[in-house]
Amino acid sequence: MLGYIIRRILAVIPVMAIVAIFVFLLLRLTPGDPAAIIAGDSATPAQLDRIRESLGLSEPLHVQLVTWIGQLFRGDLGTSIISNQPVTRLIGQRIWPTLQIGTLTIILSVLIAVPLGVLAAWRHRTWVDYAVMTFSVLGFSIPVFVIGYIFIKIFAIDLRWLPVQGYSAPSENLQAFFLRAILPCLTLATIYVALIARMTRASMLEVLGEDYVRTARAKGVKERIVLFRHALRNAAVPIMTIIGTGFALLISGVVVTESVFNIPGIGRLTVDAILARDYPVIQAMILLTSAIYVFVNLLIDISYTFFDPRIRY
Amino acid sequence: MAGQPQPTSAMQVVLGAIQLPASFRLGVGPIIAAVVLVLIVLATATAYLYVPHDPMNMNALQRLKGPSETFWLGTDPYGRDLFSRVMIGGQVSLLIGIGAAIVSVFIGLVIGLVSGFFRTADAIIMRIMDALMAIPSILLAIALVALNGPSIWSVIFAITIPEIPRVVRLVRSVVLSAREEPYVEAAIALGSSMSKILWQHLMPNTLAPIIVQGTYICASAILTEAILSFLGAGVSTEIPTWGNIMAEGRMFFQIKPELIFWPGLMLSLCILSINLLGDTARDMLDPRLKKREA
Amino acid sequence: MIFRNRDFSDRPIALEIKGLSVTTVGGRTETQILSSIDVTIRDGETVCLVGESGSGKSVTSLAVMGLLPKGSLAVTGGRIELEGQNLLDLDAGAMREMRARRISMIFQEPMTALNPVMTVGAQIEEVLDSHTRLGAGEKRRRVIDIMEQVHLPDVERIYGSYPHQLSGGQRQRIMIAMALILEPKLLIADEPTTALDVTTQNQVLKLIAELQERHGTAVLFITHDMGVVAEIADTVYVMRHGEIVEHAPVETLLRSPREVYTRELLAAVPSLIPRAARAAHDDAPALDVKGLTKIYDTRGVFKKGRQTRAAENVDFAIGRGRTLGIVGESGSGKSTVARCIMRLIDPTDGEIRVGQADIAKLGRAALQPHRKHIQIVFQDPFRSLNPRWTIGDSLIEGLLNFGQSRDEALKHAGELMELVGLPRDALKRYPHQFSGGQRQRIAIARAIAMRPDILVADEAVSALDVSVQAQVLKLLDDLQEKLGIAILFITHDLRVAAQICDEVVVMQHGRIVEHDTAENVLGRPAHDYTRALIEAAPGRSWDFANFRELATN
Repeated sequence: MLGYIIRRILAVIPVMAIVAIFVFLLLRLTPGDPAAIIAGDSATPAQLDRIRESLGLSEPLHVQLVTWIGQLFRGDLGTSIISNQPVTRLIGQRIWPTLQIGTLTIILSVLIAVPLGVLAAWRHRTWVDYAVMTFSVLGFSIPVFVIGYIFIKIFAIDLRWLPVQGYSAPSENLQAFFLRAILPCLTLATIYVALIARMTRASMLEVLGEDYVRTARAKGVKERIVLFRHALRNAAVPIMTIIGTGFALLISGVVVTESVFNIPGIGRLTVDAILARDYPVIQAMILLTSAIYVFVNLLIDISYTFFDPRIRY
Repeated sequence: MAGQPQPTSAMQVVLGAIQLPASFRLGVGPIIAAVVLVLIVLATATAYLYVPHDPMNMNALQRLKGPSETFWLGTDPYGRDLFSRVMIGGQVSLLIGIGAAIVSVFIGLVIGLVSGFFRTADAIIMRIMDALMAIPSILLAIALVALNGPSIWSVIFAITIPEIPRVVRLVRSVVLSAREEPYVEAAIALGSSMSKILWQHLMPNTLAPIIVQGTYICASAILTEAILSFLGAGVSTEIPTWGNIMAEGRMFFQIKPELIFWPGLMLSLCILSINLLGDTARDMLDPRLKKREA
Repeated sequence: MIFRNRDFSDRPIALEIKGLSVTTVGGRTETQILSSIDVTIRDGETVCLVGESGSGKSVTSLAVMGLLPKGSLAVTGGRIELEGQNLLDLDAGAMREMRARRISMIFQEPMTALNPVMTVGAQIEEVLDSHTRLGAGEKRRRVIDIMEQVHLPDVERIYGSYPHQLSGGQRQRIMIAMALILEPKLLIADEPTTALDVTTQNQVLKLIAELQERHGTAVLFITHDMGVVAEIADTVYVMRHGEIVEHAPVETLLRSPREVYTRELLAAVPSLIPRAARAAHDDAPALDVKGLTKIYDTRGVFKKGRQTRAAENVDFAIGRGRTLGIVGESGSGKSTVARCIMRLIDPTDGEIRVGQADIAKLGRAALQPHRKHIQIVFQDPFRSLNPRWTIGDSLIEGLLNFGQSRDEALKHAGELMELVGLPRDALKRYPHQFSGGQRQRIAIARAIAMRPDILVADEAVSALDVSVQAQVLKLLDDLQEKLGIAILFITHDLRVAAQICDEVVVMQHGRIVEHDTAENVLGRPAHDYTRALIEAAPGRSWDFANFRELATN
């Protein structure tokens, strides 16, 4: 089992290396002068020089790559063109709201989605199943920001139950934090719940057709135990996988949701960077979110050993 | 391993016999979805023939008007007719969806076939695909649009790149399981060339799943276009798309939610129909599901 | 042959099925799967339900357990009485209470019938959790006790093992332990040994008989294998198309079957008496294999590389017009040898001479011209033909590769269809329109279209019912007569080997342990392993086709 875990950890290295090289090449291989692309059409030659200088664009490509990798190892993600601050500092200031909302959303989503999926599979081809599936396909089909605005319209503007926008740090006022976190979390959770519920249902349906489920029924085991002890645990690996790959959706959801609800997290940071053409920040966000994605999926890979004793080679 | 006998049990044969006549019954859902989709596509494609106003025509005197006989759905912050903009805007959104689906399926199919069939190429290709999968698609698309400019083709390209690894993985897994089939081994024994085996035996197996995948990509591309526009990283704001119309409505959401509601409704209906049809196609084509239903 | 021949007429009835009918539901048309069948089983009796695929025997067992797949099969009439109580009247909860306590079931596939993520001890214990209220210590004691009764070794270790850590035979013992821990009245065994090797099968059959004796359980045993029937049955019910054709005490049924169908079924059982070897030609062998070795390296990152010797130093030769069988249990390496010879996998070492050429080390391009001399027929008739191609396209695939024109090849394909006993016009149809036996004929036709010198048949009749099996074996024999092909016949079934082989090679753990004429190997085995294999073959002293004891010489 230790061997498996170590191999999973080692497998992260080439993936992150390729991501880093890819991000590096993204700017350099784009047709045209990268400095001009970043600076925009109205840039003066002096501005262009300053950008070339700060990104080291006048060096040969391989020198740039070595410099870039070296910077990454030192934890240097570059400097914002607009605010002239190190990107790591910008991210450090903005990451907490995002982590709080994100974690809350994941917990909420799994707690809602897995039981829904199990229920739909158990009551296959009944109204319960159709209702869950309808919700799930709806969740995929409406853009996140539209969902956000619908929630705001209903719960904040019309019913006045919750604040429209904004963020409070939990350390200052826990109640205000939760009140303001409810709508963003629900908005973010919609697509994630749809995804996980759908996979849970499919995976459960598959497992419920297996021989060992028939064996359990032939033993006279109660249906509840058949569902949760026998079926769900065997269905867990694909569900965990989708929680991991769906994490990418969550990241793009965060970027959008933070704009809609005016939350000062790294999603907003990204949107501001797009509008200001602050490429170093965009680039750093790609690296950071990819690293988070890879890390989350590494944890999930390792969690498989807990669900399935066969994964111990 | 040595061939352990696997006689088909009586049960399997019985169940197999049942499944054929009762193969698949189409519900009302997919039929409605198909009708809605056809209507949306026809309405947007022919929009220039019937829309009452020029969607680009600004009028400072008619800003943010409510629905009226002249402006069926009211006007936007620049006094342009919302109805005309929504109908015309669908053209670009659908074009991006279909374009992204076709391009990513085609490229993904070729790479996936190579990866599934040639072991040496496989290791390298799959590492690159893993890395591409690790980059959140929306951020990758944002970066690509930021670098390549806000043209329609640039947006299609930006949406396509992150979708390719998913197609590659799908095609590869189908090829890997199909090449274990005895009929493929028989073809090898019959002296068929590698390209014949690849194109005539293996490739047809991938068609059904990638068509299904293509519908999902189409839906998700339309959605991504909207999100990119919303974030300010989409098609240039001069071109009306569902995403751009909604992005411009953001600031005025509290006073005039229709600016987001109508394009959002069209877009959601469209994606919903595509997704439902994709699900139906998948259920019809999934042999495992068929077995279970029997 | 010693039959069980016990008389149960004075014992109380354990299970009585009266007029049971089952039909399909939910489809467009209702198909009758069981038509009013009657079965009676008394305490301590073993009733065998025997029939070919599709006869309804498994459906019968699932109906008794109340486990018919919901929404596709339903009972439409009759009664299923367990000690006088009609099970069909019970609601879901009461039926659940009956399972494991009063009736238990074991299934065909020990590989998939156990939950892969629970220890086997916990899975047995779950039966007690579901039906009794015992303390933890008492539960564990009972589980250990039943595990000892099914003769599992090292019970304490196996208790905490997961299914994938156990062998097929051990898993089936766990299933039996699970089924019998609450001493049910009735045990239903649905092909419980079909997926097992013959020596393991023998042990499991003995175990079931032993436990039945000890607990007085009534057993409903479902099988397609007449050998198994002869070994274990008290009473036999023959099923066909969802009806009981005939039932009788085992000896009566095997000696003097009343019904035509029963006679046909018995006549199709291949005899263990080997055919006399045909005269060998002196000319050079069609296939000559020397020192064939296949080693798999399993490398680990931290572990030292381990080698699996799937085949080692395999030597044999086959002359024109003769058949050589390779027999052995799973994992013996017999299929590895076949796949190496076909060059579907690359041998590690050794020579494979086809005619004059050694093809063992040839590259892809150099191999191509030799492909047509050696062809293969696989086990699974449902997967050996491309489902998207017409039969015609499949048949001419190889011919086109070797330069025939399409018209010429199609004409040839038509002749081939007739040669294997199928209509010419079937060329335009698709594989799913044919039965398993017909598809296997088509696969054979595709192979011989190439006019090969050697035909490799890898378990080519193992997936077929006995009556179909007999026809396909006959076809292979006829073709060999006509075309003078050398056949390499891979099989786990000694009866089949006896019918078709001139020579037999016995393999164990990747090595040849015995190689001689079929007559000598099967009649006077020299090696202990061969002897063990033959002794484990169920019903080996009965001549089914002639309804009498095997004449011993």
